[in-house]
Formats: sequence, structure tokens, C-alpha cells
Amino acid sequence: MRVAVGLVMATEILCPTRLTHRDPSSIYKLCGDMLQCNDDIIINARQLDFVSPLGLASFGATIGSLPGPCTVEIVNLQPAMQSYLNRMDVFRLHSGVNVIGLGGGTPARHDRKADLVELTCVADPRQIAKVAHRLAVATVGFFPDVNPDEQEDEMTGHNRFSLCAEPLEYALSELLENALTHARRYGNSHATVWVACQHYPSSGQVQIAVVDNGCGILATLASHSRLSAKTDLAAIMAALQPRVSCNRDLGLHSDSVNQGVGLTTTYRIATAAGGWLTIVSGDAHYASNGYGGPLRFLPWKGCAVLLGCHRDKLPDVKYRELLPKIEPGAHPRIRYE
Amino acid sequence: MQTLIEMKPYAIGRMATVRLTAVPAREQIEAAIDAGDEVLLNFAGVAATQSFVDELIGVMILRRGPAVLESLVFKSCSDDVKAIIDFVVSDRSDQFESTTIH
Repeated sequence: MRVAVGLVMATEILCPTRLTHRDPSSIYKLCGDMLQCNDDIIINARQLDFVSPLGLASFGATIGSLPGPCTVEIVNLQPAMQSYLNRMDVFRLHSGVNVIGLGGGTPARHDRKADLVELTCVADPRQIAKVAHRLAVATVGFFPDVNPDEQEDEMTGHNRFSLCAEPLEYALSELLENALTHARRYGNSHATVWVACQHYPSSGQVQIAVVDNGCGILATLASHSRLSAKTDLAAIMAALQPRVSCNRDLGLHSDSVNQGVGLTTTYRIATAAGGWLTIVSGDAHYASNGYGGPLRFLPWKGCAVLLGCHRDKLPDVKYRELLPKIEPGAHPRIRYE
Repeated sequence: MQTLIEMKPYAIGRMATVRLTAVPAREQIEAAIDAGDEVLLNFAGVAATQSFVDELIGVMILRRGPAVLESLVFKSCSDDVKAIIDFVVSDRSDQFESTTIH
């Protein structure tokens, strides 16, 4: 609905109650409605009471896709929600878009206990390693009974903190690198990646969302022999198989040809840590815990990945058990000392 | 002669991740090999992702063939890093063999 705000036209959009992975259709309807606007945007958030990392990262990627300069006003925010969004840096997102949060009352004085990691945009591959490390360490820093200064085991060099942080850092770095590599193809050179992490103390759950506004999975696999059908869901299922999303058809001497196992390994990290993976791309929503199905309203052009897991199971993750099996046969000798 | 290359400088904390990080390390390895040296890669205290290891040695295998491994020694690798190296070597060697015209 278009409204006049002084001399400026704006489009008003009603925000749903929840922006969560359990109902991604609502997230991507909001995002799609925003992307269809040609003027300033007013988001009426009077009903909004929960936003998960997937909702936050998708919102960030949408802001990053808007043709600036424009203003996005989020109005009628409940105090706790305004405080939460402020804490997540939602109102300091994108240089070309002015995001303003306006609540109906006084923002809550009690800032949520620091188990939140700010919404982060990654636009440069050189940022990935540092961002993945920072987010993993910050997320595990909120775990109860985990001390980063605990003495390391003499044999393994690990303490409980590093055993929890490293699987998250591994998954984050692979997801971010995948996203920036694949998203920027086919005319999407300016695509960016948005990441949000959260630890939920009462359930012990950790959620990491990595969302890009690039070309989507189907575009990157459209010519692949293992794509069973030219649909977004078939593309997601193909991408989850090892060695599919790599570019071996580019030839032997292309630089940095990837092996196509990053997403597969990330999926296995999630399940080994008692969790799941949710992927949204185009009009398809796949969830390894069975919540998947087609998006009901509007598609998401890029790719969104949500990894959920349980903090107590992170130390049990062993990468050596998660890689694809090595084909039997003679292999070159590797010298280890 | 032997050239020792430490992996620790390429890690943030304990982890060496992402392809871009491995590129200068690989260039260092290749320069030493081209100079006729055996290269010792020290992974003491370092965890690594498959992407990092693939950029470090997988790309060399694709370009030079599995014979390049005769110039490499991997030192103080954890079981996880060994498994990743084994996988990368096996996968890229198979790819080299299947695409090289004899």
C-alpha cells in the first residue's frame, strides 16, 4: 500500500508476527514485498515478536539489494523487539539505505544477555577467515561452563572452548566462501553475504544463518549432469551431494577449482552436532529435519542456509569422519612425520 | 636441501581456513620445489578446512601431477588434518589421472 509521508511517497508493508526458519515463506514474502518497492518503505511491525538468525540475515540481504538511496522505517516496534534489533545492528546496515526503528514505547532497559552476535555483511573474500573466527568465538563465548582460558590438553592441544568453536568456524568459513564464490556468477558481481548467529541458552541450541543475494543454486548448476530436473528443489538436492557444486568442467588448469564438498561437510557437521540444515533458494525450501516445502508466496533469488545444532554435541564433531569416502585403489604416497 | 614452512602464520587462532589464505603458502611451496628443495609443512597446533588444504596442495597436484608429493613432507598433523590431506590428495590425483592425456 502506498502512502504519502509529507511530500514523499512510501510503501507500507505489514510485517508478520514471526520471521523464523519454521515459516520461511513469511520471511521471503516480506523480503519480496520490499524488493518490489520503488520508493521509501514503511514496515509496520506491530505484530512482530520473534526474529531468528535466518530472518535477520535475509532482512540484511534484502536491504543490501535495495536500490539506494532510500529509507526503510520499521514502525510500531514492541520495546523488546526494538532493543533486540538495535543490539543486532539492524539500524546500521547499509550505506545506501537508511534503516530507522521506531517503537511504540520506551525501548527495554535490559539489553538481552550477550548471547547475540551482530548481523554482519561480508563483501570481500579477504574478510571471510576473520569473520568466521570472530563469530564462532563470540558465539561459543556465551556458552555456560565453557572457559576460553581453560588449560589446553597436552596431547590434543584442545580445551572445551576450542572443541566447541572449531566446528562452527569450519562451517562458517565454508558457507561464507561458498556463498561469495557461487553467488557472484551470472551478472551478480556485487552480491553480498549476510550472516547472523545466535545461541539460545534455555535449549542449548545454536543457529547460524548465511544468506546471499546472488544468482541462486539453480543458476550455478543448470547445466550439471546430476541435476535431475531444472527446479530449485532439485538444484538444492544436487548441491548437497559431494562433488556436484564444483567446477570440474572448467578444465584441469583453472585456478581455485573447488572440490564441491563444502556444503556436504557443513551438513554433516550439523547432523553430527545433533542439528539440521535448512536451505532456501528460488521457490524451494529444504530442511533436513523435515520442515521443507515450496515457498508459498515469493521466491528468494539468492541462497539462504541455516545451520542449527546443539552446543553440547559440538565437541563430538570429528571432521575426519565427515569427509566423503576415499575411493578404493592405489593412491599416491604421502609422507607424514 | 629442505625448506620448512610453518602453517601457524596462516591460521587465525588455531584454524587455517579459506582458499585465499592458502595461496601465498602454496606459492612459497612452489618456489622452494622449483629451487630443488624438499618442503616440510609444519601443521603443529593447526587445524585446517578442506578448502584450505585443497588450495594448498590440491591445486599443485592438478597442475604438476601427484609426483609433486615426493617433494612434500607433512609434519605434526592431527588426525583430522591427516584425513583432510588424504582426501584432497586422493581426489585431486584421481582427477589429474582422469583428465591428463597420455
